[in-house]
Order: sequence, then C-alpha cells, then structure tokens
Amino acid sequence: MSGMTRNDCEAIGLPKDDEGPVFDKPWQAQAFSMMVHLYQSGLFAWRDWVQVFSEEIKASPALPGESANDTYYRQWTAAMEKMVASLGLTGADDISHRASQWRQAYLNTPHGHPVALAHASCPPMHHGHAPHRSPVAVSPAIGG
Amino acid sequence: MNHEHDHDHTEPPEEIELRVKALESLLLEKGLVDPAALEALIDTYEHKIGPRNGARVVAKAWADPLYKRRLLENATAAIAELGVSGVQGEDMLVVENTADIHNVTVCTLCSCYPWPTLGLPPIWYKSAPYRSRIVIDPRGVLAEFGLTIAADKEVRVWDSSAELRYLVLPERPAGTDGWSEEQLAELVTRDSMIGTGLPKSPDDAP
Repeated sequence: MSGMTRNDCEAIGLPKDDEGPVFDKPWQAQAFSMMVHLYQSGLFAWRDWVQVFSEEIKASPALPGESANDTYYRQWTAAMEKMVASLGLTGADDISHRASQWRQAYLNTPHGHPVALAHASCPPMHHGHAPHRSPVAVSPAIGG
Repeated sequence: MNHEHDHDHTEPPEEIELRVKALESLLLEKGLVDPAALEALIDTYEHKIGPRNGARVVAKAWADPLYKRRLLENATAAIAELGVSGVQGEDMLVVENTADIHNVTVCTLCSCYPWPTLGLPPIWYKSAPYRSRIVIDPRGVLAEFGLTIAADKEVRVWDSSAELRYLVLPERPAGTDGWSEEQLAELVTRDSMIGTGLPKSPDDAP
C-alpha cells in the first residue's frame, strides 16, 4: 500500500496488506467462491445477499484478538448459512450434523490419506484391516 | 497433545472450515454445486483477478482521450471493451480525479467492490474502521494512508452498493508524455483506483 507505514496502519486501526492474495486460508476462498457460484446459478439477486451479509456484519462485529480476515469470513460464512436457509436449500441443523460427520471422517482417516465423508461411518484400513477375500471365521456344520 | 506422534488419524480442521465443507457437500448432493465450476472460480479469485485489469483501463484512458470519454460516459461498456466484466462489475461508474477534486470509494455496509477490475478488496477496505471513518473524516483517513489532500481540493467519498461500483480514474502523473499504455499501466496502483493512494511517479517506475 503506497506511502502507508505500519505505524499509519496501527493509528487507523486497519490491518496492513500488500497487493497479494486476499485469503489467509483455503476454506476462505472456498466459502467466498461457493457464494458467488450459487449467485451465478441464478438463485437470488446480489442485493439480497448484500442485505443478509450487511446485517450479519452489523450483528456480529469483530471479536477481541480476531484477525480482519477471520472476522470477515466468519461473517461471510454465517450470512451464507442464513442465505441458503432462507432459500430453503439446507438448514443450520443439517449443516451441524454434516460438520460433525466430517469431523468424525477426519478422525477415522489415517494420517496422510485423503479424507472422505464415507470414513465417518466406515473407517478405512482401521487397525491394519486388510481386505479379506475369505471368511475370517467359520463355524463348521455339525453332523452331515 | 501427542498428536504429532499419532499417525492413526487426521487432525480435523477448525469448526468453521468443517461447516463450509459440510455446506458444500450438502449442496453438492442436491446438485446445486458444480465441482468443476466451483474449482474454476476458486482458482480465478485466488490467482487470476487483481488490480491489473483496472490498471489497463486507467492507462488506456490516460493515453486515449476518446476512450476516456467513453469510460466516463458508460464505464461498464468501456471496461467491457477490454474484455473485462463479471460478478460485481455489472454496473460501473468511473469518477475522475482532477486538479480540484479527489475521489475515494468505500462500501459503508459491507465490502462492495469492483472485482473484475480490482480483484478482491484489501483487508482494510473490509474493516469496520475504514468503512465508518472514511465518511466521517475523509481527509484525516487519507492522511493516515500517507495522502495529504490540499485544503483547496474537494474530497468526494463514494459509497459502493450491491448495484453500483466505482473506480477512481487518478490524474496522469507528470513527466509521462509519449509513454505507451503498457508503461503507464505500471504506474497505476490498486490504492490509486480506490482513492486512498496516488499512481507511482515516473521515477519509481521499473
């Protein structure tokens, strides 16, 4: 930012950045792009989104110690949840439930392996489980 | 926390990331998200759009008086002439800095910003202090950006909205007679098109 020193930024209370990337973390780009993607599919008018987003910004300002991008994308994501709920696409309970499934999927996935939602209920290769092409136990028929 | 020694699981990300992932997978199942289109958007916003498109517009306006007239009369169409358009660029207004007027843009409600020409907004543009203070005390805030506006110059603050976004056309730096559009574009900074900065001087050019 031309002519603006770190002290200037502190004086105004503005976080400093250069002309580089505007996302701190990949999920922020994901959340941002998903909203634009939904908009492009014609589900709502941009002004409706701006209204929901503006209200969220007003209702939940920056928390102590939160970075500007963390604040912004927290507000963005919360507003996005409200927007999809108001459009009847999916509700907060569904999102919470699915989020906990994803958490379980991470926990069930061995380090270094790709995380899939299915791992939430069916852990891959758990405790060295190799696929068995024959029964692991047989109870022989009696008599015969 | 012995997680670094435990390779039997993958550490879950923070809650908000899980919720974004959850929403994406729910919408995907409903056929509301096209994964390829979403990936392309992410790639675009992460890597491909930025203030260079705006710089091309400004440089062309400096070099070509007829283009400048078209730009000030119908910015959306003039910008589209350079192949630049898209979400949050559907209705553009270019405001011209002159010897008597300095323009600066803000979105007081959230962060409306001309993405196709400037990329995504800088962090400070989205922050509450900028959004409120630039309206209350424009000269003071600009001074904090290192930009002192002469007392006899008018400062105009433009509030972007969901419908209309602004681009500031800065004054062409002195000492650039005969420069090509490509050379001129090198002088155009993002902040000079928001109005919180000025173009680089020819001495700073690479």
